[in-house]
Amino acid sequence: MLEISGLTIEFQDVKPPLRAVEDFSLSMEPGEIVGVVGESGSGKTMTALALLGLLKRHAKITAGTMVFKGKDLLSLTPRQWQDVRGKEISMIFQEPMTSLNPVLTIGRQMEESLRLHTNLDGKSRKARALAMMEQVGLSQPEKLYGCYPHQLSGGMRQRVMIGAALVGNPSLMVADEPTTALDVTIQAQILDLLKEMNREYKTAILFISHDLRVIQSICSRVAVMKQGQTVEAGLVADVLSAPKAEYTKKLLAAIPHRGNRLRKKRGR
Amino acid sequence: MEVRRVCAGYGRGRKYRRILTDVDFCLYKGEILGLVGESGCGKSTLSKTILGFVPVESGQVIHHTSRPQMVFQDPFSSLNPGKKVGWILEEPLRMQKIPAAARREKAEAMLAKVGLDKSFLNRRPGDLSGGQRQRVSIAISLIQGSRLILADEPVSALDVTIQRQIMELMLALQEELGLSYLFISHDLDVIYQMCDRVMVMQKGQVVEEGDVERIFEEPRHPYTRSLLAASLSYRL
Amino acid sequence: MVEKRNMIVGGILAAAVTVFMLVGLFYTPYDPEAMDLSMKFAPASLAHPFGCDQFGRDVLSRALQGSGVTFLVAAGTLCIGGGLGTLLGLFTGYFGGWPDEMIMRFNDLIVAFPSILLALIFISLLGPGKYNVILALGIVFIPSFARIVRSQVIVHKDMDYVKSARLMGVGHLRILFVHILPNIRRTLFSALAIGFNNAALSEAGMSYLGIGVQPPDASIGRMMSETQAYMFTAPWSVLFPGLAMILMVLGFGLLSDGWSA
Repeated sequence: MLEISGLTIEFQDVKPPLRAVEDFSLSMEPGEIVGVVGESGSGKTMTALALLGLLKRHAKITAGTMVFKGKDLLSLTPRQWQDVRGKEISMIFQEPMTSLNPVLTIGRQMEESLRLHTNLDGKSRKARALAMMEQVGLSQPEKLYGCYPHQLSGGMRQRVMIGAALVGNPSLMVADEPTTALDVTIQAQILDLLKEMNREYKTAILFISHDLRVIQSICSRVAVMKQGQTVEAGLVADVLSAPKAEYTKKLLAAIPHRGNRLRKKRGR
Repeated sequence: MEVRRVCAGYGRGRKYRRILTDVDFCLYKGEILGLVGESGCGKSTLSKTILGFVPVESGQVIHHTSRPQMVFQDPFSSLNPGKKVGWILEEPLRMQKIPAAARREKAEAMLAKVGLDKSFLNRRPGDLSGGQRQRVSIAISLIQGSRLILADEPVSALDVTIQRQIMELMLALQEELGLSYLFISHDLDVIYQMCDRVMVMQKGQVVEEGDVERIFEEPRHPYTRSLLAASLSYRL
Repeated sequence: MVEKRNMIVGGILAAAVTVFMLVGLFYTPYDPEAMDLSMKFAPASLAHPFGCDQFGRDVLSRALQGSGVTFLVAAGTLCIGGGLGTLLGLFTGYFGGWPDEMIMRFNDLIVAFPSILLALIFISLLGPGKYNVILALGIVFIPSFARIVRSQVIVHKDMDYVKSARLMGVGHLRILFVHILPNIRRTLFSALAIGFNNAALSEAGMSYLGIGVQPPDASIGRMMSETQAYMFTAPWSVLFPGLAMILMVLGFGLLSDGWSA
């Protein structure tokens, strides 16, 4: 369904040009959840933005191809991009505080992609939006429909974002650190929700995170990135149990976990 | 250090909102005490109260040693962006009227302790990575000779590999100098790796307290259980 | 990059205009008051590079002296308005509480009036003349500086580095002046550059209306009001003072943009 090969992104406002992503390749099948993991500066967010045609002016794709459902994404005009974004590929972000528009109602934001990409009238749009809100676990959707983002908690906002991203029934959703800003209990709920939506709608998810624990809990395959390069890729189970690259080993060793207490002697 | 039935909150008069209710604990010498809880549970308020930034409504905070120092969560706002690292490190010594040469010497020695060479004295926080800044923050907290450090999410904003380095540094310094830490984190695994004892906080109250192994293996309070159930732990 | 270029161009312009103004305080090629009717409306020449005005006075000398006075007024205004405004903003922003509330409401009251109108009120109380203009404009300028500085201090005082300084045992005054103030200097410089323009323009406006600088002092505003009737017969007598003003506003404006970026 999605075929990225040899993708290279450069920042061209500095000399010499800075390679943010180098020779990145990835293929995704419908309904799959694939993870991209890396630390800050690894280029994982750049890759996500490229996939939505949202790169900043200074960042240029200098090599590679991105083919989505037979369409060459790199040859799309800005107009054609608008038809892909939101309808075919949608995105959710890390910061639920800033990624919803504070002056629009929840209902309005849930309907946005229907408004842009379908001919549904207001009534059926609202019906679809309310049904979707119910689906993402927002109780009393009728009441929330007219609310503004600041009246909601972080977890609820993230649910709204997921609902708004899925309401147009896209085949791919890019999720950039969607649970990083959330508390553990809310994080677990949101991950469960994403898995459930993935089963229900067969939406493929490209899941970007710095946290291997999250990747392990939700993805089937993973690519490990470091400073723009893919150091390792494969099934999550394989990569985590038998890492090949030095960097992956280092990353795995650094994950905080309960099998390894760093505090050896105890004080008192 | 002892915290005795402390209640504290923000606002004056009618607008007063109590955040902490009857928080009561001891931090022993050489101990690492973890404090875990979700956002808004009062973890940060507790550390601010201990430091005197938030007034106590009732109860008291007793410091048996010198005043505690703090390592902050966000390494980007905890260092003055306009000053050089050396200047910042020397500021508390300047307050104690220590002569310039001795100040510089001490700052250099402290940087070495946290694994940075003296070239960092002349660099500004803006040129440093998150991990390097956190090392500087640790150096600042130690330079006045305080042996009690409050660490409010000191590794949460860092990449995992850097996180690990800072955790190891803090543990090494603890052993070398006999420090006590109140280590605040939302990450249960980090708490498990670092701490001797842990307190679980919910809505301004400590709901459970005990040795790390005990809390993780047989949690008693329902809230602790739900936290543990929700947290993802890396499995081999 | 654009900001940097603006900053350089602005800096050069502002420096050139400042030098021109400073020179005018101490030196003019001719006596700016000396009339020579034989030179009435003489166009630009080697002896009089900017030509002469309706009384045969040397326009360059008058522009120099006028700029000098304008500079004095603008600088004086900044000292009073910028200085007191900054202090007020620092203290109210940092300490907050009811004094902050009161002073800021009073500020709102002053800001509600157009600044030139307020200056007019002060002048009508104090009487015209350049020192009174400085005093009047200075007072009128206090609120805007106080407001800008206060908002910046409020942002900084809640940052962890201020808490860290408290833990180091640093006192409030030192935190305010040594730890916080240097971090808001860019905003402050930017406001000062714009303030300089506004003060100079206000002075010109007031002098043009005849309530600012009084004869025999020249000022850019007075020169323009005196010679505007001869705009078409002797354009240079208006043009050069006007040009000096435009260059100054452009220079300090660009400089302000550069600092604030």
